[in-house]
Amino acid sequence: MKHVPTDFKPGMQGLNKILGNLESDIMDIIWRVECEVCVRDVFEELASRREIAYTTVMTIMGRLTDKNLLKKRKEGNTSYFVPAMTREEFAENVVVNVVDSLLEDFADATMAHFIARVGNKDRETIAKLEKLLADFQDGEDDEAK
Amino acid sequence: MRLSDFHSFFIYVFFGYFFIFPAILICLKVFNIRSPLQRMQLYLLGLATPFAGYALYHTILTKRCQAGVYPAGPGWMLFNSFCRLGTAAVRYLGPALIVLLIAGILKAVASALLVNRMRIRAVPMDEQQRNRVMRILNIRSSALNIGVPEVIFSGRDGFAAFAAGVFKPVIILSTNLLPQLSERELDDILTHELVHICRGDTLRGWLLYFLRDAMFFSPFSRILLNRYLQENERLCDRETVNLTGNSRAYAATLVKVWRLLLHDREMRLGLAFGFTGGKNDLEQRVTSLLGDFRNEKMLPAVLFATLLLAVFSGTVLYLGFIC
Repeated sequence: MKHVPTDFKPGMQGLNKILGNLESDIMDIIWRVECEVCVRDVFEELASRREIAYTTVMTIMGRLTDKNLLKKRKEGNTSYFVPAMTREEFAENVVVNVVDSLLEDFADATMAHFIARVGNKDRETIAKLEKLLADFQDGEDDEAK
Repeated sequence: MRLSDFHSFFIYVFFGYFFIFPAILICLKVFNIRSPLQRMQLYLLGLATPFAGYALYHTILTKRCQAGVYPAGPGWMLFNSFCRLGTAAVRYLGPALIVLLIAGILKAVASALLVNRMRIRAVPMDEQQRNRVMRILNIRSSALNIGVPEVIFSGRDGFAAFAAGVFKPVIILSTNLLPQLSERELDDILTHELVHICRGDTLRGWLLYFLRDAMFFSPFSRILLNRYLQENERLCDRETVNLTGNSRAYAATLVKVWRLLLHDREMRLGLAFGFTGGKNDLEQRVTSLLGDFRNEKMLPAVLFATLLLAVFSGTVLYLGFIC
């Protein structure tokens, strides 16, 4: 299954249930256009409705590509974007993910994981442990010598 | 049996943990118990004893009030207030308890539904990857003397592998991580899940969560269960290393998979619907693996059994004074 963002906000409307305001506006434009677009195209559409910087649109579209909602193709200095999935596929994926996560959370008591859910601030701990592993390996090598 | 008979359940659980929890901590410290198996047994004792005490005082043993023994003076007031507290708990906490117990049973159903959904949404695997997985499972299942469990290849994110299913556990394996794992790393992950299945951890986990939920009104039940599960993971890690042979390599697999999952999580927004998850005790697991656990001594069996009996008896006696 494709990676799909599933930060579900039941109090919001439409795409805003899943994506941020700007993200959902951009996806809405790209889905409506139904052809390749560049950042300039989306920026001009958005700028007609609100004050927004070009770089902001560029950043958001890059983020949407990282989230696998958009596919990017580079031609010279210009990047062209198409949706990675249709609006309906996206909605279906979100529903499936939310239902599965509810089931998984409810049935969590009956599962035995290799690794439990990762936390937000684990990067430092991982770096510390990787250093510990490297030191341990060095210690073993010294003993072998 | 009348509804008021249940009042002592709430008293025994709530006040029982104030005795047994420090008793367990003292035992761990004084006797320097480091073996995960013995630590698990102590935590399990702590979790179950208040419940067991309630069962004993409603079957074999006679409660003080049934024997007509009442303390005099201020003792009587305290005794009476405990009974009133218990009776109030039956009225106000009782309905929540019933809901939680029903939910506990439904968790087994949810588990079966989840496995079935995963099975339906399983992604097809190429022959090479499938053979890779099955080869390892066949060897390790034979070593553990268990049948080869069903494997479901899932395209979902956010996990490496887990065993699921209360009565007939299966292994759910993430296909996203599979290409990034070496043969040894895959062996570590699959062997770990097989050890969980061999130990019956999915069924035991369900029962223990059921027990914890039955005592939801005391935070100690949650603490004891979390500690039990942490020690269980340490034990499974050690049993995995006994089979695969290299604790440093296994620790490296843990850290690598952790890093891959974190990267995966940062690439997308996390699931917002309540992944309560477990406390991430990976740091403790890794440092434990890098320690000299093979030379770790267990408390002699007779001494340990005596310790367990002493803690249990002391708690039951204490409960008898309370209510």
